[in-house]
Amino acid sequence: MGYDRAKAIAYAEKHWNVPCDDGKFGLTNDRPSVASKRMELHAPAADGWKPEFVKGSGEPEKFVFRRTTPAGVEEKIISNWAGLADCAHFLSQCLSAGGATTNEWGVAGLVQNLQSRSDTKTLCERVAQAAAQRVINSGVFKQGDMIGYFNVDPDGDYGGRPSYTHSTMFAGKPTATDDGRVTCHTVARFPGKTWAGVEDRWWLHSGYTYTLIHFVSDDSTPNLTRAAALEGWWMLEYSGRTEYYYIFRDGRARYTKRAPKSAREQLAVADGGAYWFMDAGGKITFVWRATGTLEVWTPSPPDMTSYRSLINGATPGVVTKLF
Amino acid sequence: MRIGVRVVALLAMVVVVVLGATGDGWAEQIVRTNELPADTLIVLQRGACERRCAVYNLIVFADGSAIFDGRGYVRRPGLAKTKISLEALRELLDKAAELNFFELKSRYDQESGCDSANSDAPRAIITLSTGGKSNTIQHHLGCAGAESERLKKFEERIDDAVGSVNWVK
Repeated sequence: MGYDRAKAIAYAEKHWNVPCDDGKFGLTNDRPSVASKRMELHAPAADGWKPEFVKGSGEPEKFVFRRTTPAGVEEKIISNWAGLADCAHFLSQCLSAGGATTNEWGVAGLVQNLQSRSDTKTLCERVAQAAAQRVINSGVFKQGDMIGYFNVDPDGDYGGRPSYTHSTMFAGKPTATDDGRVTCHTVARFPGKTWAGVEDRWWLHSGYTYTLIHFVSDDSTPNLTRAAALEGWWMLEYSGRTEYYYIFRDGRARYTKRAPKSAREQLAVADGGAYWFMDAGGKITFVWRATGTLEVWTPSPPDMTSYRSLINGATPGVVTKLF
Repeated sequence: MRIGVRVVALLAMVVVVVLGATGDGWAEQIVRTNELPADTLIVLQRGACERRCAVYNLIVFADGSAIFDGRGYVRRPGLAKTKISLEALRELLDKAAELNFFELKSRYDQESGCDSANSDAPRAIITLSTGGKSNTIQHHLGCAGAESERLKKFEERIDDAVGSVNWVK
């Protein structure tokens, strides 16, 4: 049974501003239960107290018990903004609801966990916003996939530490021209429900590089004959440069600047790696992991086994099968 | 130790409030002695943001003594005492005068004083009192506009003068 994106998104919509249904929430140094906080703060459910992430005053968010009485809204603070850290936990619960069982509380651990799964592909890793946007616009990256945010701003998250500091789930594009939206905890977001003044376009802020991790179980299967014909060494010429690709029929590709001497030559040290995706018409999209470079090969008639290349939507290239 | 520092801070604040309440008499004395006005007080409060900005308060008194109060996402939480030179303090007051600080609006945020505002940026609240004048400004740091930019630079000068970086990073 593959990853069910719709279930993951439905879970996110239900829990976007309330604790996950495992009854726990993440702090930077603890993983308390809502039940223990009910006891500690004398906020029994029977008295109408409900846990909720709400917009803070002078802070991005706070986690509270709230209840509405004839006198108005009452609030007991479970945690102010400082200390809240529930993004990776929330994402784990969403992914688990979609069938990709995960139980991570830290972002770095979540990224590592997802990258090690056989049903995911890391499309790009720690690339700039513009590169990640290209990958998102390609349509390969889908609703329910995961984004890791790596801080590169010396004045950024947690004192500017260069590390993964946030994670979200991609929630799709409401319109074709939209950048794309995300859902997450800390701060709570879900497209169409996110609080006014909170950014929920996927990139969130400047000062990050982005890792896009894609679940593959519902990817279309490439035409087997065409995939088999792809396997082997290719030469790409573009902008006065020449590069050599070794394409595997299983969806991987590698490149080197050194020309291979024979079909049997193995690619010992690659300069970069990519995944490729073939659509029903035979068009192939390569996503290069280290740079987020997006390369599209369009098949040429009549045999549809030769291709024209276009890199990042702008730079044309000539592709030749070597052996 | 922390409690001791807190007490000092509280006492100092009380003294400042009392001095402020006495008004013009003190201002006259300042002119006579050619010293910084005794009611001089700078308070800079830096607020939270989604990017885990450092949350802290700085208080600088008329004699140059200063307190750093680290509240969140700082290397050293809690209170720390320091001192800046009177020249440095005088420079801050000069900068404030260049800014027309006491004539600035009380808010620069999405609702007032901004051409536009980046939603996630933190808020700074800055209070300056000296020579019987006082102004408190709520400043959204994502606020675009010339006055906001000048205010941001002034806040950074306060940080630099006190050496906030020693406790923040």
